[in-house]
Amino acid sequence: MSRAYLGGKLLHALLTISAIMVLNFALFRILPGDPVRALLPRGIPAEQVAATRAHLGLDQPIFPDQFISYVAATASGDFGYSFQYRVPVTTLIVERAGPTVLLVGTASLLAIVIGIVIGTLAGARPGRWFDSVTVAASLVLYALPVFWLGMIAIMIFGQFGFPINGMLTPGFTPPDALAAIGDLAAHLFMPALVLALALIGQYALFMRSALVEVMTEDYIETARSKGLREEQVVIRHAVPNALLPTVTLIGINLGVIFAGAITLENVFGWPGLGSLIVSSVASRDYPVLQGAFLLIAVTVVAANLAADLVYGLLDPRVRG
Amino acid sequence: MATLELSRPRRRHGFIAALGLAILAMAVAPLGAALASSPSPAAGSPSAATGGGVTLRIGTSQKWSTLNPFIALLIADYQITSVSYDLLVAIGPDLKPAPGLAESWTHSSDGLTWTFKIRQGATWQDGQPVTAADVAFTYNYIIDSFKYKDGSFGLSLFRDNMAGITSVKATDPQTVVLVTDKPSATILSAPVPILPEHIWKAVSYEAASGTAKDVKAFDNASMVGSGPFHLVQEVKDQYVRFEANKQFWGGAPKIDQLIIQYFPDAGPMVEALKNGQIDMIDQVPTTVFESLTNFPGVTTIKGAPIGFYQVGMNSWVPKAGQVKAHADQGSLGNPWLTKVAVRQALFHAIDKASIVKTALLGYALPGDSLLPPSVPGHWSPAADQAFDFDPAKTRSLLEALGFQDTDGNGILNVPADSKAFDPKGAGKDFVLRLYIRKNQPAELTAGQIMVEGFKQAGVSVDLQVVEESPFLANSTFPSATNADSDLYLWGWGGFGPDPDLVLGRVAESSQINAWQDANYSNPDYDAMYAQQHGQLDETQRTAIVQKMQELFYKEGSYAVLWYPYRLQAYRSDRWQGIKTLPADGGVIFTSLAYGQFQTFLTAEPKVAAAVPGASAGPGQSPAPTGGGGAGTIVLVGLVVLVVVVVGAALLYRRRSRPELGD
Repeated sequence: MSRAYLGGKLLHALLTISAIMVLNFALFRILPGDPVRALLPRGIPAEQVAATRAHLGLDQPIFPDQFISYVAATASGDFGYSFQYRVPVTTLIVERAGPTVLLVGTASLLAIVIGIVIGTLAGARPGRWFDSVTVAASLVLYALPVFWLGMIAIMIFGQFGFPINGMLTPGFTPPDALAAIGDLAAHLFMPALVLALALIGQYALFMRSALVEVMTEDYIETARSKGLREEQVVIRHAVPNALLPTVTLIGINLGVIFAGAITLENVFGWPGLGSLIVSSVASRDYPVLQGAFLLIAVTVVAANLAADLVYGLLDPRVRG
Repeated sequence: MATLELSRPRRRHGFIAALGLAILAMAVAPLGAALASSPSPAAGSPSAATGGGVTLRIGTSQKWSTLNPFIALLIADYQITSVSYDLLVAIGPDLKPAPGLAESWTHSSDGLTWTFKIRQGATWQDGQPVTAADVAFTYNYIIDSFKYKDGSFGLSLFRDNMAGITSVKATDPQTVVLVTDKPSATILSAPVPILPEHIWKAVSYEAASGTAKDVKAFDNASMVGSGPFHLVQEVKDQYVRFEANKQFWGGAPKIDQLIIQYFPDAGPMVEALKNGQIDMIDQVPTTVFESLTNFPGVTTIKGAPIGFYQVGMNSWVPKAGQVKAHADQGSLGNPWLTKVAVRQALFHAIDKASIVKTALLGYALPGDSLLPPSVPGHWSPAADQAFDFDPAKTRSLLEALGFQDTDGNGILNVPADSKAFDPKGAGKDFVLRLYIRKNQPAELTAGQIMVEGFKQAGVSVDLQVVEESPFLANSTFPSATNADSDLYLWGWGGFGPDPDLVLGRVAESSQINAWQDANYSNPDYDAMYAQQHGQLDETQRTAIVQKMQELFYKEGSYAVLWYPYRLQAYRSDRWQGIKTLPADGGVIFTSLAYGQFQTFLTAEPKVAAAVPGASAGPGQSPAPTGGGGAGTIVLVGLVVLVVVVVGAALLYRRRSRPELGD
């Protein structure tokens, strides 16, 4: 991989993140509403409201004062304090990112592996019953709203004692590490399954259509005429090329998955970034929103960067 | 293509399938293994060991915002403080003042001096004795906060409760003497949690008022009260856990642990009750209440209303000192709403019966006055005084005021000669904005019914869905936005049984720029408010309270739309000793129940259900077997999945064979 290719991609990523940082600042302040009024009870004297405003730094002009201190602080890794939780945003986000990464990670891993396998099996022999069935199933899963799938899962699995809400059983002190993991896994089961189901269809469809397209290329015909077995043709020649769009999708999807996790976390009371964002929007908790959105933006940019780089590895032509 | 394939038997399809399976197994195995190996206590009978003995688990769909009683805003906040703290005077089963930390009380004949006898043997949850000094400290802590830095860190939540109190002293360890400058009828109904002096004397007003810059500001996470439950764990946005205070002066609770778990969505919460993962739920959605009533093992509670929802009509007429920003602009609300005659006309355009039936599915009573029917002192209009739904009457009343449909579009036009009074609207269609809170389907339906009624009356309504906080809070707050609102749907609740707070906060003039949202100001109302506040004779006070309700019903700035029932449910197949407050028509989980009047003191598991796995009876809901069962299910599911995938792979291979022979 050439240094110019890598450098170009990195520069691009950095520029994107800087732009998002500026946008982040503006976006939440354009929203009508005053965090101080959201924070304090009614019936508070005006002096006290003003004092709170000053403590939060909101008495300063938005531009340039608030903007400059925001940029300076963010650049030095300081995201400020949450208005509503009154703890550093970094602490809060780290605390909440863990559960989301666990949920999204587990679900994505399941969905990517199963989706690619299904897509490969279907795309290798388009038009067969396996293909028809999986395409139909994938379309249905793809189209279903995540929260609805979540409610259905709760109705089915809730009966068997699967925990419906939260990440750990309240008040349960696990006797050993295994019990703790078990409790976590029991809580993770439903949301991860639902998110995975929602994603499998997409990956399967993508992989299938990419593979079908690749299979019509001349070089496949060449591979076949070299005397390779069909399995070798599919696995060694077709799949690597067909993976390219799917890898891109994985990158793009990370952002979308975070969004999907917002509704899902709400259904299952999963204490992740999604539920944090929901409650922060309601209370105009600018610092938390800025931090969380920046983190998500960085994740998406990093995932796309990674996808670009993997692309370079998979496909020599893009290495430049 | 087929001919090329002919010569190559395809063996490696099996390999692809096997590879896929292996990867799948690797991804799922840890989850399944973990599940299978460990029985999770998530579900089970009440006595299921969770490390804390018998546990009662409550689900709520309102998230608490704080543990600090001075910035508590939500009913969920008070539900937490009420199980942990005591009041000086509690609320009894008949909603009358009843012994709390004070065993008894008397007042002097002039009504200015109150003497409270504090009970012996009460202790703080850290073991220290509760004395009269703690009570005096709590009251003085709040009263003095308004002198600290000119009240800029005042503990405003309790300001109205402290009005008129000039001194509070502990004359001996068991006696508190409280003196007021004027007689006050609300001394016994102050919902002030009594705090331990040895802890709170170190808490600054900045911290207590929630405005400290210091991030480690007092969050009261190590709450120490004298109530029956001691907070031991708070996991933000998930749950709070209490342990029973076995030393509680009113007797040890029969349960060992109390958990309040937050569910962001009410649907899953209801399922969790059905599956036995929780024992009791608050705020049951109206849509599922009936089916829950019929669910075996569940008992539903339809508690009498203690709050109301209203359409507010912004009546703000700026007065000196009320405008803090944009003094030149004046009110940004529609000026016609400041006229009593216009408001009265509009009252006739609201179809309350239809709102209750359609939007609330019947789980509410149609509203009239500020106090719900079950609250002592409620007043209802006689049939001939009531503002019945009659849009034609609205139209004729407005026409009598000069409104005319001059352009024939079905909407009345504001009188053209009213330029001085209504410079922006004169001559144009009469249009009012109506704010509806986001994510409140019932309120949206109610709003739509109102739009329809107003339309029939010839008034155009611009319905806007807004955020409650901060948008609605701001737009009804003159000093923030010059009261930039016309009509809005909002509610009040969580008051104690004493009418003082609701009558004051809703409509008393001094509450403009504080608690009021319609910004109503009427000297007659204010005078009666002061009168009832100073009237210690209950009969005479009730007469004034009823007059106030009548006045506000006829000339006020609210149409009270409905009084919602409070819907709760619990597992009666597993729990007994459940009682409500008030005893007649109340609810089980309420922020009004303090100390000895809480149901959690008497709640205990039913004996049959206390044996894990034993069902409470035939036909009852299945007793969940816990996470061990869940693990088994996962394993079974995995096996089924493997069989299906292997089967599919085999089928696939078999299907593809005949083609080989083509």
